[in-house]
Amino acid sequence: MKRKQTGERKEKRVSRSSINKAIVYMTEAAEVRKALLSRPPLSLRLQLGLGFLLSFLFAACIAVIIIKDIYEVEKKIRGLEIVNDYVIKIDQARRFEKNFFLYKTDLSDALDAVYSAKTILDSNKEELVTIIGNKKLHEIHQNINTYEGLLEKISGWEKNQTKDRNAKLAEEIQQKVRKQGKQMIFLAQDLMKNEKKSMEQTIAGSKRTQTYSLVFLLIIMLSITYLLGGRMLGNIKRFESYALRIAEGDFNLITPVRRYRDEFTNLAIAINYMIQELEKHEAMLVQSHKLRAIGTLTAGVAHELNNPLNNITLTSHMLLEDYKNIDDEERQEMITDITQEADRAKKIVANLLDFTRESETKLEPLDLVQLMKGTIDLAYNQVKISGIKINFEAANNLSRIQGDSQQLRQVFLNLILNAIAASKKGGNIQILASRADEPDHVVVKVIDDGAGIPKHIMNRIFDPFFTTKDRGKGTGLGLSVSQGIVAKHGGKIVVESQVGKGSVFSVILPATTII
Amino acid sequence: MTSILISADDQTMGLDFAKNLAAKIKFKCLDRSFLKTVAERYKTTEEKLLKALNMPPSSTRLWGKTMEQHLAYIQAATLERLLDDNIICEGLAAHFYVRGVSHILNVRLLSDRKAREELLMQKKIITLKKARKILDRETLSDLRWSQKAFNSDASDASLYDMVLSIEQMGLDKATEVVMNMAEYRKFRPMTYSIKCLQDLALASRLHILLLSKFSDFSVIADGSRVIVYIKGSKRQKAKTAGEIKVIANEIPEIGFVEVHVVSKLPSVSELQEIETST
Amino acid sequence: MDKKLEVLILDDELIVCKRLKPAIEKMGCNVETFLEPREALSRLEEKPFDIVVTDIRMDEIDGIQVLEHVRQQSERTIVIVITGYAMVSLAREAMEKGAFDFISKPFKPDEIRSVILKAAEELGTPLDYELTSKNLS
Repeated sequence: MKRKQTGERKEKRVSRSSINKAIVYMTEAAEVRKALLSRPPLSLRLQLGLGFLLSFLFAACIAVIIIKDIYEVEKKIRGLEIVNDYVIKIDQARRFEKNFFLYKTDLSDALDAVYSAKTILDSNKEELVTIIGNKKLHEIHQNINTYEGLLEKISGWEKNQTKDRNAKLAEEIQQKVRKQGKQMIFLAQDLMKNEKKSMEQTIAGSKRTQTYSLVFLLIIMLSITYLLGGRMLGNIKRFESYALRIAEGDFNLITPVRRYRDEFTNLAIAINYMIQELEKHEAMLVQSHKLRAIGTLTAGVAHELNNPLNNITLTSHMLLEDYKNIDDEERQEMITDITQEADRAKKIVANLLDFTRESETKLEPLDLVQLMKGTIDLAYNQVKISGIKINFEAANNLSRIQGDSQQLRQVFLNLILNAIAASKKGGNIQILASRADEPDHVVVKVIDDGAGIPKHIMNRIFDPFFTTKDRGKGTGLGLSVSQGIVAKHGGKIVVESQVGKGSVFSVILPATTII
Repeated sequence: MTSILISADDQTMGLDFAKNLAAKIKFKCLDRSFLKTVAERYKTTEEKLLKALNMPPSSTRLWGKTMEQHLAYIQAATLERLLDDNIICEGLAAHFYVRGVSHILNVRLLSDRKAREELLMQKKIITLKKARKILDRETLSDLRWSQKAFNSDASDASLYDMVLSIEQMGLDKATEVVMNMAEYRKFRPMTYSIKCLQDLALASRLHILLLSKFSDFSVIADGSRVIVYIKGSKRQKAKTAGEIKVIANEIPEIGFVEVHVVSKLPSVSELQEIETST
Repeated sequence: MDKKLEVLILDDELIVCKRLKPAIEKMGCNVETFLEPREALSRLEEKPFDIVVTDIRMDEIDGIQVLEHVRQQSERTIVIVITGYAMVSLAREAMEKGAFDFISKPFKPDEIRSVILKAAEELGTPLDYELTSKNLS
């Protein structure tokens, strides 16, 4: 009664631990997701947007500056236009003035010209004020007014015919007029020159600004591209490495690396989900492989069982039929046959159950050297009887492997026994443990110098129930079970053989970094 | 001698071929007229049986169960009849459920598609396009039916021992080929193959009885031993097994019943494997 | 003169030979049993047999090869195949190669006896033996 209870309790414990494991794993996934999402958000879109905004603002500033410069230049040109018009009028006036003094023509034309000039000034007063300033304008007004005044005086005198009165005065006035006129023109032209110079300066300055700005803009955009691009490329490279890692079978979840989260975080969460599903599917695949292997084994077992079953059927029927007619000895013989065949059937099924048993594979870091030495000891008897020499060599600092010691021992024992069976008396068996060609893997080679395996048998040796041993001497399950165990450990068994020379069975297993 | 199962993508052509062949080699022809006998035996109507063989799956659940039942009747009756030997069987979907019997020759005939189209155009006075559409629809509904009824596709070549294109060979030559094939010793009945057929027949009888109470199960027989795979919960296992055994008692030939309650029924190929290993 | 039918049984299972010999001798035949195909074949060279019962899966020489050999040697000889690995493909192959019948293991003694009776009839020398219905179920 007690035994049954503990058995039950044990079962409960096992199932609870596996439930716990599942809960722990689920919790881990949820925690990672929480961690990934708990960082402050700084989305790529935001960063890109900012970058572009910055560039745009800068370009906008430059545009504004250019527009301002153009506006100024436009103003100056306008100013020059007006002054030019003014100068033309004054020139005209002066010509009329000269004509008057030379040919005694009318001054009214001159006055008209002056009037036009003044009109130009007046009608563009506002603009002129902004362009050349009040002071200068005032100066020009004074100039032209003075000139106008003088001309009017002279014109008045001409009209009044009082020219003889003061020839000297007339001469003075004439000089004054001329001087005034010259000054007027000079002033205006000076003004023009200044304005032109100022405009040229503005243009030059604008050109400079634009050039510098362009260069600066280029630098800014390059920096932004470099920064953002670098950021994104960095992330993409990181995810590239994740993908490679997953492809190699590393189902560790992606954990937070940066201080912020962005669109790549969503990608990480999606990939984590994918990893979980992959793991689940792989587990299912392994399970279905196993089930398929079991299925194959079961079919093989069913056929294998037909013989003992047939023996029992025939014997028991004949026993029934001839019971009265045969003697005690024979009857006993038949009954013994029946029980023996029943035993045989039991063994066949037991061998299958061995393989299919849902035994928890206990994985732990193992030292290959120790494991091999122990296994070779197990085969000690066979070795002695067969008169074969076994030599074991291992590379230095061989990595450990993650595995179930009992199961792996079964594998290696099977290979060693096979090698012994294949070798003749006085033969040699070499067992080598070293790093495999595949990185992060170790290989154990069992090498015999026996008869070798002919090509037409090679692809059958791992089949369940295939054996070349004499009847009753082998179950034929050794290699197929071994292969199953090795596959469960993430490795494989490879065979090389030459008829007459011998065979090499290589067991390749992944190394572990766990100490 | 061998029994021959005829399956064709054009039912009319298949029936013609079967009748022709039966006459030539003096075998009995088992076709849909057999449904009358089946209806009498299982106390149902010919219409329902015919419907079960043809009706494309409708979405009503009610018909589903009835269809399963009627197909089971046809199956059991046909298998039993096949034990009599020298049968040409057509139109009873036998190619789906007679498997693993070495003396049954399974033949698939491919019709002359073009000829069918033309015939249809003439008969119904319709365009080529319309004729094609009708034929395509027929093909599709056949497929849907076979998927629903037997989880199989009649055009799957692996079901058959030979596939003949009537378009290429013509009816006469095809008949000749089948006759020759049937002569081969390969297709002679033997103790083993007769036993296989007997096993199928026995399993189908139990199948009918179990349908009255259960669904989602498969039955395999081996001599007097019967294995039932049924979908269900492990908790109910003892109860289910008990009920099944009681029902099985009604068939005197059954000696031992093994019940497996599974979460997923074995697939067709898995079942075949189990059958050959028992 | 009543010539007894000569039956050869070949099976690497000792018990099959042990049990089938008396079972078939009872029917009025002479039975010789062999465990090794080679021995059986050499015996077949020496003496003609009417009926040969052979297993298929044996070491070294396949039962199918024995079947072929026997049929080649003597078309009259009836070969009955018994095997624990019955499959449609194997059955058809055996029939094609001339087997008279193909029986899957496990089988009851009466099952093979009924086939032997059929074979005797085929050979034109029917046996006088009655199968008891009890043993056939």
